[in-house]
Amino acid sequence: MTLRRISISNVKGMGRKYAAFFASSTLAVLVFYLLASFVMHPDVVNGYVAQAQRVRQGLVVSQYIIVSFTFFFVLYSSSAFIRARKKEFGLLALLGATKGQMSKIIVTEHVLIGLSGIALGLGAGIPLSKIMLGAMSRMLGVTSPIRFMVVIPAVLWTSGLFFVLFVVIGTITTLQISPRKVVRLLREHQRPKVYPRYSKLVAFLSLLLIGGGYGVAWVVDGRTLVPAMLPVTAVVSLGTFLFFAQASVGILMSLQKKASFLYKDLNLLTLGDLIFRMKENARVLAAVAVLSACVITATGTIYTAEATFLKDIVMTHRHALTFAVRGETGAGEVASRVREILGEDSVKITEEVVLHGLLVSSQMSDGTLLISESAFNDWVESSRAPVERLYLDGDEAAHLLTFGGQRGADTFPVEITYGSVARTLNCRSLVFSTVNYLVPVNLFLVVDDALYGSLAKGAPDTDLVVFASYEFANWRDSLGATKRILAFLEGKDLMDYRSRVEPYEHRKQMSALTAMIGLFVTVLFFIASGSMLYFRLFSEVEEDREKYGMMEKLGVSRHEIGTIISRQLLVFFFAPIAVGSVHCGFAMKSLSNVLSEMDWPFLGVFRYALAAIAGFSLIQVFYFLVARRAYIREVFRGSTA
Amino acid sequence: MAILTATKLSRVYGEKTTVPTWALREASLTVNEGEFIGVMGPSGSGKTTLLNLLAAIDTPSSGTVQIEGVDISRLSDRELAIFRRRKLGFVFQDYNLLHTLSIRENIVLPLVLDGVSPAAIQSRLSEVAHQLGIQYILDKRVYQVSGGEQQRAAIARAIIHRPALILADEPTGNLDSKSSAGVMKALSDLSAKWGATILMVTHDAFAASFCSRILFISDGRIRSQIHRLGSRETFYQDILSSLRAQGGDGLDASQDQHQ
Repeated sequence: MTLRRISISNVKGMGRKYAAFFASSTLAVLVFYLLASFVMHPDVVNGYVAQAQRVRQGLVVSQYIIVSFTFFFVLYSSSAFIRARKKEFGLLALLGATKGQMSKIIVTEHVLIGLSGIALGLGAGIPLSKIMLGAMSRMLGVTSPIRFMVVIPAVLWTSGLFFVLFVVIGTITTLQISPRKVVRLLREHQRPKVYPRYSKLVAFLSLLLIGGGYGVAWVVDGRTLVPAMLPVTAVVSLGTFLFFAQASVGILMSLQKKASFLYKDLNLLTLGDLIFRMKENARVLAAVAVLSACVITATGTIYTAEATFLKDIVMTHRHALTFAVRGETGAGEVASRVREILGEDSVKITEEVVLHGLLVSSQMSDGTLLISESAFNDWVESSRAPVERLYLDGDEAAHLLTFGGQRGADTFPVEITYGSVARTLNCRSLVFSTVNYLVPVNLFLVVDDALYGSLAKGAPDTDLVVFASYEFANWRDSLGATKRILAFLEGKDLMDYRSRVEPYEHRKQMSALTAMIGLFVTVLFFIASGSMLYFRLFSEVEEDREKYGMMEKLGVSRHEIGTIISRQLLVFFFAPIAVGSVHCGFAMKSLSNVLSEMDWPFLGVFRYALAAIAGFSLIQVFYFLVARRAYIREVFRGSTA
Repeated sequence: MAILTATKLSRVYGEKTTVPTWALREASLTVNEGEFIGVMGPSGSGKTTLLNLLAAIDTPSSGTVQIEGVDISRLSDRELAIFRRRKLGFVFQDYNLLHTLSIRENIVLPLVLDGVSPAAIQSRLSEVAHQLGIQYILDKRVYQVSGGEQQRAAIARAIIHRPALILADEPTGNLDSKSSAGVMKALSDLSAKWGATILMVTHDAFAASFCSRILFISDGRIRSQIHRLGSRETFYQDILSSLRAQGGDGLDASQDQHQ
């Protein structure tokens, strides 16, 4: 037998305690590899997949986040674990193990767990990356899907990074061990626990801090949000810690004083333990609460932002499709072909604005479209548009205000030039506001038929422009038709176009990607924080086993002990997420304050946060059920009854 | 030859407070090679403090401990570790076997820590397992064997490296009378047949009757000692009468073996 053998036996023998730790580490490796396999994929690195470049940065940032919180999670778990094993190391010290030998045992244990975590994480990650690459290709709308392969640099990076992480943490952890002290620790656990105390003042202060933070969050607006964010977060975090360390103890103790509550079924046993547990774990509970609040708020904000982007796209596109084509002679063919293509995909046209005109220059714009009075009036007749017919004379012109444009002075002069002709028109604005402008065609003027006729006479067909706008009932399904229309128009003399469905689909892809990556990172976070809580529990399982063994002798049934444990775990697992959710609620109120300045309703923001809270609570419920089962089984292990 | 010499050992708790507690006051003792010494006294008399000081688990407020001529308070962390693994063996009331290791692995631990060759470990292991009659449990897990067997495995671990001194803290405290007898027989055999030097803290007169000499301690001072001259049975009676002479609070020890 060697020292390595001791480490191996330890890891094997403490399987249950290590399980949560191991599972979370494995999951971190898995997610990291999934992201790395995309970021370091040769097709992406070499730029074959143009769309991939956009998301690459986001993925790299997510990787940093994953590595840093894996680092802290593993560090925390390791220290907690070593603390729980004080007695064991005390014994080793007493048997004459040097500090070096104990370090060796600890580091070897970390390496063993690390290596198996890396192996399992990669083992699961490589096949899963096939699905992931497929999903990414679909979301990015890549025509030829990104090839599935074992991305060697990603494998090397993932294994190298996590290996180093485990070795470094193993080494840091060994610093906690001091042989001289540890020997005394041999008897540490026999020391009686001191009954927790709390100060009413500090408990009150904690509520004051949290309440103050909430108050500020409630009233901030777009101007004050950024400067207020950090101080409020800090104040509420401090308040949260004090809340768990002091106020929670205070609340439980006041419950303990009420005989009617205390002597009811199992409350006496549950409360007593819970007070100790809350006090001892105040730090980890507060950390989980604050981090949950941050993660839920971030998730809610991202979803809100994505929804805002989508809404923006819809709002800034007056029509589902707008295009400008040179040449009047083919206009009829263009119109019928467009209808035909839309018909093929059963896209219903609800509005059609087709303006024919002459493209000229003016002092206001090089892309000025002159439309004859009669053509305009014809269109007004046929379209049922809420615009009246125009009657223009001489140099009079009507300026058609475009979508989103601002109405200026009542009348203003416009100097137009076409070839050698220059004229100054007396222009008045017409609230029309129903078409999008395009970059090459952005000023619409209706002019007298005589003027139009004199200019257009002898004008080449390429200066005669068809400006068409369409609205569809089911525009979200119009991507295919839109693409085919554009392919057809490319064959004509297309100047420019603008469609709503393309940026919408693109944004949706990005949102789906963001959501997917966000989900990876947050699920990982919740699993890690869940295992941190689980871990805290397991470091006390031996004391609990003795305690519950004693209770059993006093006539408390196993079923009742199970109930006591469940109730304590319930508080332990859900108190942080409940507090975190309330924090998040106020953060979302701040967000909604800012968004409501932009006409965003309060409830809309909350919907996303509530969805996030519900999702994470579900993960926590799952974790709670697993932890409870494992814990109860561990408490009763080795005893017969 | 003196294996252990303790000179004027004192241990004070709360030195800086107005009412310091003297756990041990100027205790001096010498343990010679091959002796099996018992330390007896009521709860809180300073037995365990004395043992902790002798084992360098605790540091004395004043006084010195020399084991085989080495002043253990002057050792560095590393020297202390090596000293412990070569010169000292420990037996505890609650056995303190590592649950993740098998019985065999627990027993050989001190030799593994000292980097002894596998062949030498193997031969030492079969030797001590035979001495203590535990060959049949070597491959079991800790929780699969009885308390008495665990304690004998712990004793095997304490002697496998042939320490100069074996320190035992209430080794029968958690055992029934039959297992106690087995464990004490094993310890006294080690002393009588193999010349091991043992210092045992106990408040169990029956366990103490296996010793060759008993020190009585109360209120942090070593008050008296008795030597075993005749049979174990007469020595047992001697111990009981000494305890009675010590006064009422010494008596609790003689009757309750099982706590």
